[in-house]
Amino acid sequence: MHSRIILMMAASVLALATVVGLPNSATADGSCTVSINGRQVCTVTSGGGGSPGGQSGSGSGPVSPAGFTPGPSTCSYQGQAVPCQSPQGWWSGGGDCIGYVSLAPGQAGAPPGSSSNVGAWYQCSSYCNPAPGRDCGSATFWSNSPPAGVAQYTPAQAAGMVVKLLTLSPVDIGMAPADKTHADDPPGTAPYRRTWVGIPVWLWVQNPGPTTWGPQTVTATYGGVTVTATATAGAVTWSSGDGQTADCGTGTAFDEAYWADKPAQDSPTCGWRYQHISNAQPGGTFTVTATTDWTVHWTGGGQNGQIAMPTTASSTQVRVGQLESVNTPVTQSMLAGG
Amino acid sequence: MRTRPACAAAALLAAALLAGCTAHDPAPAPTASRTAAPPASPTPQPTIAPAQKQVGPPADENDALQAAQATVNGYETHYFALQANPGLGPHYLDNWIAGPSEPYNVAQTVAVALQTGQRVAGKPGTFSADMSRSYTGEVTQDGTTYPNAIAYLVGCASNVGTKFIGFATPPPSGAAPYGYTVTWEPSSRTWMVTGENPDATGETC
Repeated sequence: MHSRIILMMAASVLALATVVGLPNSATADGSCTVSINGRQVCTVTSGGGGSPGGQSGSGSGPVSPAGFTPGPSTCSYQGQAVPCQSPQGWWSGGGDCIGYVSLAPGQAGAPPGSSSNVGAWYQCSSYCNPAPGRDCGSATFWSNSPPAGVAQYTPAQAAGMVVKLLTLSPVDIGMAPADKTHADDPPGTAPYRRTWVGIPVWLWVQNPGPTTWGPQTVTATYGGVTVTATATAGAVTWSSGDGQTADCGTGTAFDEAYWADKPAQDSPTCGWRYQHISNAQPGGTFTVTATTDWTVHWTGGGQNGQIAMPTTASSTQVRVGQLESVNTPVTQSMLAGG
Repeated sequence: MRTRPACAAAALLAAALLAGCTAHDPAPAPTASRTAAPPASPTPQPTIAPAQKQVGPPADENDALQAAQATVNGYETHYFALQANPGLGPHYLDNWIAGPSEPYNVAQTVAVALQTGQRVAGKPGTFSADMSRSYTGEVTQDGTTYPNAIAYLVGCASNVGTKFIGFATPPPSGAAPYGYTVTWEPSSRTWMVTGENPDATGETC
């Protein structure tokens, strides 16, 4: 939408030729519309019969790096040839800019709804007639894709490309109770997790590695900017399925051998005790979910920043029952789901 | 006053002004006047265009967006007066618009109104910018950079209260997404409407 506004601005330059009598007059192409307020809002084209927006120049110019659009090889404005390149950048005959376009030297924050890891501010400089006394000016505009000929990214844009090289996977869930077949299960029962109301449940990240927990680092060059990005998992949020949550690090793995015949205890770092049985749940189990929050810190091009990445998640099922009243202490075998 | 602001704005607006836009360019009658049919209303008479108060460059983005919104408010009011009485002429809004697309559009609106007898009555339309989606950019003119001197407003335009008379297909009553580009012009030290976009999307009006 923003680009549409700017397009109108750019196209409007041509209309001035008609209104105030500039040489090489521009005319309306007949596509005036009536606005909500009953006014004429017209699209104009150059008098030379150009395409809408005064587009000129062909796209078979120099080869650009992958992902970039080559600049035009022949350029004209209102019927006269103009250089396709100038110190102000590549010629743009329409779209967001009628003039020379380049990456803006100063990058302000992204407009609302846009990301500096995707788009950038570009500078559109008017074609300056060398005749003295005329105005030369420029304006900035935002674009989510580099205009033709611009083969340079901002560091933030390059970072946005580099993070796509990262492989972020959900954690492998470590949990006591373990996934197993129990002594009192009928023959042929598939392994499953089973615990009881009030019994400690331990949670941890099983075998945390670069893809499941970080740090994972990639370095790559895009648009002339070399960026190093490092992804780390900030935390994992566990959801019990019965309304409890726990924000944890990697947690503490349950050592079944160590805890054998010892009274069961809560995990020192991550866990909960179920407060409800799961019989009424679909399948008779609660769904335990581990959601990982990732943060990518990047540095490159003399700048640095952070990019929030989508979360990753994994889940498992646990059946929660109700113990009858007993006088013996809860032991490891119960905690482990025995 | 008619030529100079338009020229400056043209340069500001990323214009490619090949032939140059000088202060000495004559300002002949707009194209629209050449195509105007015998008017349904009295022959246009010279009219004093409503003026704008001069202001300094915007202090910051918020200042710019607020000033741009205020300019659009005034623009809506004066444009309504012109649509109600196109005999005021195509230069009635010269102190509020620059472009050059806006002068062209206004000239077309006046020409069509004189040809067809289209008029408006009732209340002027309104525009309310969504400041969370509107933004600004810097403008450089003759080597001087003015931060936040161009504002891109996105919001909702409403014609509720406006009566459309003589329109073959009157605009539907209600509100719709709309966009304005408003530029602070160093030479006149005023905010000018320099573009409008009836195809703005993304708003819920």
